[in-house]
Amino acid sequence: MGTFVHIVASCHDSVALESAIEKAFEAIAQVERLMSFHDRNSELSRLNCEGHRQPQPVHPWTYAVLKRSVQISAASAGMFDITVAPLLVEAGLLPHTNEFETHNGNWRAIKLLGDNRVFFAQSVLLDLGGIAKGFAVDQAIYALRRAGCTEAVVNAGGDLRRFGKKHHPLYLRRNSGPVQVAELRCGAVATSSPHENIPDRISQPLGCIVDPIQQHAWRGKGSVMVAARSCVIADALTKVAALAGPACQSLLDRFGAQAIWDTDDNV
Amino acid sequence: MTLNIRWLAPAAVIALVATPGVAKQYMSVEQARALIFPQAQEFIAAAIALTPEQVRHIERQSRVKVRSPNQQVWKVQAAGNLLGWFIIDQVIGKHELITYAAGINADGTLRQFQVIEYVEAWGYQVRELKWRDQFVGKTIADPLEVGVDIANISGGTMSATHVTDGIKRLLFLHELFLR
Repeated sequence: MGTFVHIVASCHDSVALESAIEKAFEAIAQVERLMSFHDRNSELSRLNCEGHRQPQPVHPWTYAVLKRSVQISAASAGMFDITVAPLLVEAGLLPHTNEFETHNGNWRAIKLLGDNRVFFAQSVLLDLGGIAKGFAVDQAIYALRRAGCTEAVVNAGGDLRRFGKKHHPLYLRRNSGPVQVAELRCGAVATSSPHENIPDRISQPLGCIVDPIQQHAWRGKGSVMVAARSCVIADALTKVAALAGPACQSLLDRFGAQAIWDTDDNV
Repeated sequence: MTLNIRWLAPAAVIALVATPGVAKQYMSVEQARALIFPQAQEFIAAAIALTPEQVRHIERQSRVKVRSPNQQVWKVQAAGNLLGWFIIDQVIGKHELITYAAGINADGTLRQFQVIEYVEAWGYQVRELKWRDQFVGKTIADPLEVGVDIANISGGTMSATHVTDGIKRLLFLHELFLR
């Protein structure tokens, strides 16, 4: 996933806690095995190679991420689009694939068939990067809750989700130092800022957001934080919030999400 | 699966809530185009300058006053097919101009509209999706009247009425001159 994952949890006894955290990390590893763009053997890589030749059966988790992605693409009129991978490859942010094909489709080419099968109506190259990371955080949280944890935080480089009784302070990083912007008791936040790539902080590296309509990297300033009930939604909506700014309010409303934009000039 | 968050607002962080009374450009014309016609490949400028007679014609048919004879219009196409028309228009809210973009389908139904700039202190709800969605599919056959088929906005009656009139006028403009 290219980032550190922090898990903090509490449980009624220490043995149960250890096993809960193990299960949470296993869920994250499973998402990585399925949806990594960098791993040639991942399910995503197979889908990228074969998806437009014939329908491919995929794991229910991969299917769930694709379904959510397509839903947010449709709701945002394509401002969120997991088919921007060719632009990321071109920019050197993702490795080259062996494919010599041109990828000319967008999210509309992704056809979700029954029985967890997926077909691409046109050749597309998918990168699930951020949204899969959000999904991994969600799955880790579910694993912790199932294992009986009473309180937990999972933080994977910019994507954070928690549950429990306490309030968790959230900080945005500025040059002048971190500044607290919120307290989260239950739910998820995702943060994007274009100007740093320190992996263990709430942020994502420079140039990670690409505008699928204008076809270039986001060059905005400042950072944006989106809060939602799940991390998969929060992560996807940070892309739209960064590109569209406050104009995306109705989209955020539709997903029960909230956002803030940090416009501090000396960030 | 709930969200429980409390925002603290340090200086220089802007929260989502719209600030009444401040001129706000919500999006660029390009963003409005992409939101209204995401599948469009071509926007061909087709500005219209109405003659005094054409202005009177629209006013008689729509019963809405025409503010300006000049209208910024683009023909929207994909793969050579006409998708519809994209029009930038302005109406007065209560005291200030509201700039908005409307998309009209080739068959004369309203596709969607987006508020580009809004200056008024009240009535900014005209840009909320729930209110705008009421217009989707409307034609010149619909009453397009606040309180009849369009919900009023509490505290923003003037904005709601004038945007509704504006949309009605554009639908007649399409019917009479863009068909």
